[in-house]
Amino acid sequence: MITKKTGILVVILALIGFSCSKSDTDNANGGGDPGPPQIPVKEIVYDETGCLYTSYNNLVMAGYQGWFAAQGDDSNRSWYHYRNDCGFQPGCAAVDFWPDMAEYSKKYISPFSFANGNAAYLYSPYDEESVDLHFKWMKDYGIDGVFMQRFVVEVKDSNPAGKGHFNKVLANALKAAKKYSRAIGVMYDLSGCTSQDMAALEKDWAEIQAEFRLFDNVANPTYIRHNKKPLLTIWGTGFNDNRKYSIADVQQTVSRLKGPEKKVSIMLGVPYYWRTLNNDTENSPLLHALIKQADIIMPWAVGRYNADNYNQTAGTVLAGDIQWCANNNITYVPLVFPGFSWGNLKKDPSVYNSIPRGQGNFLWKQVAGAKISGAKSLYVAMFDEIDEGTAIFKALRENEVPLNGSGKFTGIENNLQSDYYLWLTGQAANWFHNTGNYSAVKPIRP
Amino acid sequence: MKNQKIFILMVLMPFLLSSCQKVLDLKPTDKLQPEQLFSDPEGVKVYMANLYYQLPIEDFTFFRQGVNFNGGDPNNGGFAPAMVTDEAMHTEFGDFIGNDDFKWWEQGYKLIREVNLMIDVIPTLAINEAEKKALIGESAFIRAYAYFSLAKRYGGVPLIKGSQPYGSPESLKVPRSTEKETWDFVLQECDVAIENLGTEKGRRANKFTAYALKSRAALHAASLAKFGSRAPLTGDAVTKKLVGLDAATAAGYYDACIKASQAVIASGQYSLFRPNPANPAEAAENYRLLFENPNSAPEEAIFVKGYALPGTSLGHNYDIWYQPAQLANGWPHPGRMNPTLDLVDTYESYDAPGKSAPIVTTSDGITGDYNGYSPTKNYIRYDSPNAIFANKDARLWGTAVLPGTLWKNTPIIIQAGYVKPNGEAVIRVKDQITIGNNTFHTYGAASVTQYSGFDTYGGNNTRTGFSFKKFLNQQKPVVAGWNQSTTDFMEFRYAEVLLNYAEAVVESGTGDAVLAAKVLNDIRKRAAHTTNEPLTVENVQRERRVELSFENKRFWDLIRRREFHTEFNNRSMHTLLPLQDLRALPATKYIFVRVVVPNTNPRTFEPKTYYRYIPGIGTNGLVQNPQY
Amino acid sequence: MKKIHIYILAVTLAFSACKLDNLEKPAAGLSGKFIDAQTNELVQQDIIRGTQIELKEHGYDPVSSQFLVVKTDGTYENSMLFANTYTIQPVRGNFIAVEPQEFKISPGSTLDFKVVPYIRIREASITKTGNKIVATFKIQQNIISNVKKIGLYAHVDSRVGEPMRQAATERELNAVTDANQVYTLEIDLPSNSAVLKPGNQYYFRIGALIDASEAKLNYAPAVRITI
Repeated sequence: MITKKTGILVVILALIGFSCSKSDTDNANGGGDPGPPQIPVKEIVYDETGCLYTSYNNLVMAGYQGWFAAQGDDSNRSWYHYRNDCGFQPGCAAVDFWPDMAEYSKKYISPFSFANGNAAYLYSPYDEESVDLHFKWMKDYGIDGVFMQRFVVEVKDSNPAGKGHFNKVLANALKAAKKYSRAIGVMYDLSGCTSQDMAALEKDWAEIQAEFRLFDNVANPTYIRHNKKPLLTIWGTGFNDNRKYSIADVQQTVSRLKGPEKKVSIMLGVPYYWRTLNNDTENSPLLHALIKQADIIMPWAVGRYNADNYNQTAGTVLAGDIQWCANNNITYVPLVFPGFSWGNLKKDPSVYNSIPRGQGNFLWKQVAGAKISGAKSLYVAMFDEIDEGTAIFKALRENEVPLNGSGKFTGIENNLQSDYYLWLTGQAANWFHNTGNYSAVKPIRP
Repeated sequence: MKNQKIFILMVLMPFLLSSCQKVLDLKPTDKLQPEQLFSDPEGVKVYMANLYYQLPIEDFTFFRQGVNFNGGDPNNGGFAPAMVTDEAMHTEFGDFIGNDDFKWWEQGYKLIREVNLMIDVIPTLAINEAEKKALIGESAFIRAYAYFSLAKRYGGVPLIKGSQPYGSPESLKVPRSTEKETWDFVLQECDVAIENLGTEKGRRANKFTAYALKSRAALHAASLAKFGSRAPLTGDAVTKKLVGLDAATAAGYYDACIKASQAVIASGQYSLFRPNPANPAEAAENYRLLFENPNSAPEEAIFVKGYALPGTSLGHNYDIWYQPAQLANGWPHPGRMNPTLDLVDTYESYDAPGKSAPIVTTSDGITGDYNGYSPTKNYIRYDSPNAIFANKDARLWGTAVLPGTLWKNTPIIIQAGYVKPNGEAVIRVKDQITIGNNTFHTYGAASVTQYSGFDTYGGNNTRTGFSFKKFLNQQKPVVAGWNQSTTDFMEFRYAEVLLNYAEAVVESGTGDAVLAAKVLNDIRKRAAHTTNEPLTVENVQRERRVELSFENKRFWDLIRRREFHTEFNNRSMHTLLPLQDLRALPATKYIFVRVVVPNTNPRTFEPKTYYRYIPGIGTNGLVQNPQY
Repeated sequence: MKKIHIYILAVTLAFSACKLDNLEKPAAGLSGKFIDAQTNELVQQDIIRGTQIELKEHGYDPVSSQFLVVKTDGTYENSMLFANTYTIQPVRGNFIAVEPQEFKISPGSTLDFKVVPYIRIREASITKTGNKIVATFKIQQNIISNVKKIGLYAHVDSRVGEPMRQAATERELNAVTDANQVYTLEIDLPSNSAVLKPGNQYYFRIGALIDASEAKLNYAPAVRITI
């Protein structure tokens, strides 16, 4: 054991040099040499003048997939992410919810139609107008902003179509975020990566930083910052689902991204049981070392509980997590989600609404649970994720959705308005802004 | 850390010895070499008989210190596994489950090593293919049985699937497999046995023995998966899934149980012994007979462990320890199995079938009052010391010796005291009172040789108000010596398979619920019930408790259903005190008082006890079970 | 049996003669308290099936954990430990999880744990009223899980608790509680006369259990009452 520890330590020291002061205590165990003499490197200081979001604290932000394409848009990606491997026609789709298209100025006729024979339309985030509308909604309902998802495997040089798509969506979003004063950040999703792909992440990050001037307080005054640095999120480390990259790979990437001058703050997307290193989490103490190197963690809670067992599952987890993070000076951002449904994606009718929304009660239960447990901010999964049915944006009600051959589409509860989950998320944001009077009881919409 | 050293040494010993090549290379002249043994079909039979003997069958010679313990020093004080459940109390001991109890590790791997040797040698034997097939089946059955016994104690264990060639000690170390892999291996070995074994009945395993084992093992695994969350554990062994089964695996195991049980049912090879008694008395006698001599019930007995040679390890000690004191026949320590009032309460009444019928002693019908006798309480007066049980399930009468009933043509007197005409009670004190021309004794008779209850003399008299009957030999007087009993033990019987089936169906919501309800009620019908009860979780569990009582199933039922820690949370067992009510003179009347078993302390089950500790981890390098 | 005895004896002799095993007897010890991080009061515990402190001695791999039991008042002490560095973590407790820490145990070491109990029993009062023992109290829960049950426990021993009681009244709540609600639990003395005998002294203690994996009850201090 001792040799192993020393080995790791040496790697850490070699990679991150002197920035990792927290490792110093490990030296006593390892008995190794204390490392080369430390040359102080000046931490980078950013001009935050005019920046609207200098901390994640007190914010409620959502994840933004922006991965859809529509047949006929300029991305040339057909029905990307709407379609399943069998195609996109009645009986075959990747999405369970259907966007409420009433307010979109640019829309595309889909292969689906409603019971009355009318054609059903869809939007493409490749279009500036559609992303603009989404950010307008965020402002209208008081949601602080979103994290733009970038799947590393989609933005690699070997995937120019993907890179082009996500860069266009990001450009649309940055413009809209500025226009509506909404917070925006970049979140890399490592799902599907190999160890070798870490370099692609670093390369892409350098490129978009330069291309979009992400750190420029004038060009992007709403780009989210934390601990006085622009915030970059890396999602997907520590999961025990046999990923083809390791915690050590991510640790090296984080070290390089920060660099000795601490260029960025890092938020890590980790599994739900990251603290106890069991269930969905790889049993490796290295995960804790990595987390201590980061600034924020956001544990992935989707699918870990439902309305019935939320209190029992999350009670000790939240309390223990928040205490651990306080002790280690890490910001803790719990995840909340409105429900879950992926019957079409999985082609399995039994998983339509597999975690029911319960009229927003499930979402509010988590909002209240997080707030009462002492969390300061929230991550909402997700703004526009209709493949897995976690979207909060305007979607059709159950009795309004198009026909879907042998399958079906599900929707928002019939007695709710299509914007209900935007509204409810906005209420959560109010509570986390410490305005208004909220409790564990779900607020009633006037 | 100190304690561990001893284990280290003990585990190390084989390794140390194995390195002494020179000593081992000497061929002893007074022992058979393996090749000599296996070259002779009779040698194979002898070897196989020894493997059967080593099966961890939980019968009369199963005790907290192990199986087959009568082969060494048989004096265990008459302590039976039933006494750490709610079935019975010992007359004196109040012990609960200790860390070192119910382990089976070294013996387990010894048996596995020996059966692996057998499996290796089968292809080389000079016997025909049919005989080889049978040996393959039997070996797989034995190995399945061994790993089942390990899995239910330790969770995931090292799976040694073949003979290990001697090399460095390191090469002999095999890490624990997950609990799931271990259970799956048990079921897989059952399948090998089922595929290769024939249907001939006898004392050796056949196809249906293997099905019955699979039925039991699959139900055990399914229950762990379904109910594991009732007693969550944490620690490395949990994280590495060495203990614990995902809830999602329950369905598959229940299905395996259903299919295996169904195969036995559908075969038509087995049926319940005397399924249609004329009345409860006949049912009680049939039930008693089934256990006194399983050989009289070949239709029900699926696998019997025989006891044939008194005075050897092929005799056991149930008769000396458990016959009522009056019939000790010179043996100094009888009467030690005391069925609890808690168990007696569980049996149905023919008056109100379909539910447990707690013994009602007072006119207000309250059964939860354990505060003892009070002259102000309104006790129901009965004409005899057992009239209070008149309508209880026949199996109670076949399982326990009730106060004042005949056993070996002797009225067994179990009385705790009397209520004097002035209303004052004398309970559990040796006393007498003369009223008119009659003298009355607290224990129902004058001399210690004439009664079997409540006097603490010798620790020979029941302190629960019930003596024991099931498995005991009514035909012969007690022989006052060790290992004199030759009652055979049914390790698998048809009724258990039926109950496994019913449980798997009701817990999983799959399978044939009509058939499950039918078989549940078939067992009740054999106990003289005339009405059916619906298939519910509660009914199935009650039926298991009463039908399989003292067959050493209850302990594992509490373990596998994760009910031990809730059933035994500061738990006391209870006694029924029969008192003669002298206020009723000249009529002879009895009243009964429900109390906590005298001289006992409440017992609490620690959740870690759901798994035994792994011995010798300092040497074998295995991950220890939680909280040890 | 005899044979085994001989082997064990032989091995014991053989090894006890070894110099390596002539270790000093354990001379170090560890004691301390579980302190409520907010109120600075001791966090009441169960002696049976209660919170434990897991010790993993360094220098052994694999290592068998040792478990220290905590006294009902929330203090603990063990004076039979080997001086060494240990990884120490309270486990299966009645408070929000505490991380393991490395600690060097020497003779007379102390280590206190500042913890947040799952539940605080507040404004507890236990009195004898007529033929009843009446407990009133409020519940402040510090995590969002349901409160599974509350109970009033009685025992002749001061270490009374849910796993160690002669009489008890329990109520299943299975709900998130309101910090302002006053709960009342009663033990009727006449109907427990076999165990709670008039004229004798007994200890009564209020407990509450959070619905969380492996959680233990939280308690108010026991109260002695002559009945």
